[in-house]
Amino acid sequence: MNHEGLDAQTFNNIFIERLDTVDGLQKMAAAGAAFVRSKIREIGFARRILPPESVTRADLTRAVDHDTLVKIVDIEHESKAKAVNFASEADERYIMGKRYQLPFFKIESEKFIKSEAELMAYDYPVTKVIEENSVKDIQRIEDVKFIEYAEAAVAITGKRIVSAATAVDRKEINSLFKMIDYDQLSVGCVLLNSVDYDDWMIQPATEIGSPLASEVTVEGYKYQTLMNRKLVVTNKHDIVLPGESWAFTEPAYLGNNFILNDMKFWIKKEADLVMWKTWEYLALGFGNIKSIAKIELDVPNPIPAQVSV
Amino acid sequence: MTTIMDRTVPVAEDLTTEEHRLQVLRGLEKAHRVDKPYATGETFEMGEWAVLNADGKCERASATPAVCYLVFSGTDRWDSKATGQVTIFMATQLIVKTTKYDASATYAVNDLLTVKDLGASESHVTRHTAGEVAVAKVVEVGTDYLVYETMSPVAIG
Repeated sequence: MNHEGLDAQTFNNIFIERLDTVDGLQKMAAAGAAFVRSKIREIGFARRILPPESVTRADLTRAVDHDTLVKIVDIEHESKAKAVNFASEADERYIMGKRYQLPFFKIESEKFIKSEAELMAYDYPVTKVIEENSVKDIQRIEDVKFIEYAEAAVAITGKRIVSAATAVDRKEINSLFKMIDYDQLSVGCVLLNSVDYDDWMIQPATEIGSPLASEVTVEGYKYQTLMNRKLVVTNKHDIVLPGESWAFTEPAYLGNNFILNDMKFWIKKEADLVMWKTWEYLALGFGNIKSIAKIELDVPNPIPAQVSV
Repeated sequence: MTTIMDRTVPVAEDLTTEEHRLQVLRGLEKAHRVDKPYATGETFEMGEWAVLNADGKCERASATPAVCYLVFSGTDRWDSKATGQVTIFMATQLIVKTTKYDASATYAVNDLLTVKDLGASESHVTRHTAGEVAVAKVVEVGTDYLVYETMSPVAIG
């Protein structure tokens, strides 16, 4: 799927011609899968916060209620030491392990169909078409489920602050971190909306110091961390609303993100119609619901007179 | 009666915490853990107490306190469903920490405890009153938990 050295139209012609043979079809399907996999890693925020782990059928368990698969993950059990006298002894503990199960589900793109003639009319590589129409849709659903489960977690733990502040600053981020730190956990990652990230960059010199304020004014905030935690910024304003900032622990203390047999890409040519779709089997969840915190600021709509179009 | 929550994603409980319903702090090594069948329709969780009926089967407490036994392994487990039995402690003195108690009562260290149905099919410890069968004695009163020492059930006036 590498089109280096070829213009887009030539690349597209070769792409379509290869689909006319069985061998070419197989090669294009394999190349398409590799391309989709590489691209999806780049654009979803869920995967950057909780990196996926590839599993096979042998790693999973069948569900008893239906024909689906689950993975059961152990949670480290609690234990305590005690200061006691020489003649005494500590408490007993009958170990009772806890675990949770992650059910697998499928995320699948639409089945895209295009005539070869129309595909050849594109001025940009067909890989771009696949990226626009498959990869982004799938990783978007991953992000949606990620935030959905994170919302469910903070609803139970109460690690959700509603603040009257109208812009994110160090004080608000500090409040966010403290909700994680309080449970003897450590924040590994901060997820910001790009609108809030814009606010972060205009903090006054009296807040962040003159050298940094000057630097950010000219070059923007060019660091990969925020207050020494990994920074992830998303422009998906409909998933992470402006004013919403999230904190997560390191993945080991957060949860699991399993992909069964990696992502699949299918492509077929039937007469003059080229069709393809992409899917994956995913199990995502947070085993430690205390490892997530959220702050909601009263950020005004950046477009004052926004109308629906 | 509460039941174990479904631990399927999205998880709705804090799984990093220890088992609160019953922790045996002392006496487990030499405890007599005995399986007894439970009467039809009866359910138990660990930390509750079971009364043996005339057939030798476990029932939940009635409004009148009687001799009863601490449940170590209840009917919410698959092994219990398979065997039709719950595991109870018999002829054993234990110190236990539990969240299975009558939270509406107030307790002090050394209070005697009994087990009776308080009106909602409870089968866990509550404060003892004169003449009732006592099954345990309070050792520590915590926030949302009790630590008590079990004793041979005996009517105490």
